[in-house]
Amino acid sequence: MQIYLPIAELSLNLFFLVGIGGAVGFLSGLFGIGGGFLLTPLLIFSGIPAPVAVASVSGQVAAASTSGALSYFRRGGIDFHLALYLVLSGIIGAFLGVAAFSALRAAGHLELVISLGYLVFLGFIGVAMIIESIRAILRSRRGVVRPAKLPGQHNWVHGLPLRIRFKRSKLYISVLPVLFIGASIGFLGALLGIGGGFILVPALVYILRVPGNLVIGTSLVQVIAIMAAATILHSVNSQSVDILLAFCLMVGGVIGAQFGASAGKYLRGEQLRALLALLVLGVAIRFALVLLLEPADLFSTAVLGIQGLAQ
Amino acid sequence: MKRFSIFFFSAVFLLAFNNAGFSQRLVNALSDKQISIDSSFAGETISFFGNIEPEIGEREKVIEGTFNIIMVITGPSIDRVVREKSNKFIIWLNSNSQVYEKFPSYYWVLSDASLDDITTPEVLEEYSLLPKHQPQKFSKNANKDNRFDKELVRLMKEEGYFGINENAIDFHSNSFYSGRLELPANVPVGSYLVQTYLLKDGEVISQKAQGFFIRKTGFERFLGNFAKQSPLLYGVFAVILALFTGWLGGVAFRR
Repeated sequence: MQIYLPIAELSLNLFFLVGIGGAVGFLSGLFGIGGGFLLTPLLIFSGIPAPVAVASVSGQVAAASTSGALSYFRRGGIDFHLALYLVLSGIIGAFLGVAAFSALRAAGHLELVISLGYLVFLGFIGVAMIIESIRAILRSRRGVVRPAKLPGQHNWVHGLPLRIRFKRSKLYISVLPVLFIGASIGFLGALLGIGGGFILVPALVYILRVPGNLVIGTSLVQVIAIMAAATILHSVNSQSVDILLAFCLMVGGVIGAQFGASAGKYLRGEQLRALLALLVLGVAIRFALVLLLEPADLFSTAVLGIQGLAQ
Repeated sequence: MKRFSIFFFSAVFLLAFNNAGFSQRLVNALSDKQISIDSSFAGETISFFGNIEPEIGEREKVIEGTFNIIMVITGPSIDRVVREKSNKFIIWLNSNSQVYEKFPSYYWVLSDASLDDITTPEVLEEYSLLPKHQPQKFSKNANKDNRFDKELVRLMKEEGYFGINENAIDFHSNSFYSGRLELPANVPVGSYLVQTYLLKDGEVISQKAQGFFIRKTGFERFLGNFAKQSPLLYGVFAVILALFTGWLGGVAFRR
């Protein structure tokens, strides 16, 4: 059944849209990620203009993160004090990200920067994750018990000025790295159409040393806030949010996530992370090929200015 | 829709169209003055009807000879850019580009026989009938690069926005003809111009223009307008929808 997307101005199969929303939702439930980094490229590869894909996925990621955040909220797994700082800096970052998005789009380099951004971040995170999970798998084979990292351990980042006490996370750290991380994720999220959870979670764990039971819930709050901000900013700036497209993806995503979460119980943590790392690397390689191989068609054409013809 | 076309057809018959200097004239109509795009829109076929008649005041009451019809359908114009990728620092990126201002978003040529048989390249060139003639009219750059013209037409053809269909018009009698155009699902919205050329012995002896309109209707129109006219409210609405859907999912499945 074809459905006409009024902002993307093309028809796609409804079941295809709900289907990829569901498939990505399944993975997001399985791995506890927003899935924007998979969904945006999938939409671009299926013919949706990159600006519309990035902007509409922001809405879908906000929806997917909401149901996750709710369940963490019920368990008390959110540090709202820390989240407030991340959210405020994240929204400033999103403003800059959307401004960069518009400037790059006008200059004709948006696709390039999206591809490069995906390549660099997914490549980096994917390699780091795969090394970490292979080590973990090897360790568990040998039966070595690894001493758990204490949240109280400090590194040089914590010693910067403007220290603030975050009671729930049992942290007394400088606010500067918190704001920096929040703003960076906001910028990247708005520019690349990703929630940034897969960058934010390691940053919270390894740089800020947020306790494990608070990391995901707190990062989800930040993801919701910057994706909501990005959705509004993209709507105002380029009118490229397709509500119908986002809604189809949301419905599939919310349902798929439930099945993913149940399936996740049957896999071990290290295996799960190794699989996710392979997935992340796969997407990175796909983007690398786009950039490095000679394109089949050297020429491309695009409509200038704000898209949309007369009604 | 078809009822409407018959009505319209007869109405146009009554409105005499005076092409002074020609001894034949065209009377024509089309099946839809307005094409609506709704959520199930997956393309549509639009039909054109027409009749070749003796000019009013002419002595002969019937027309004689063999005629050919060429129809040119032009979509709404929009600024377009063509970009060329080249390899810099090992990656492929857009380097050269050329801008085409007010370029047709849609351009199809329909005819009742092979264009080569109907007329000469000179006539096609004179009236700028073919897709390949379009870029020359709209390029903005002073030092323009003709390679881009060719590539633009090729890209537009590949997308289905430009093209030629030499079997799209049928003559049902000496003078009565009909044509059809298949509009794809990704057809640009806006106003369209249908220019009909009547040819005899390879020369254009009469021409006539009519228009139709493609617009979104219902919910699609509402959303499209909403997004453009009150973008802030639209964005806020998108966010509320997202949060509500996420909340509903969380409540419904309660993990």
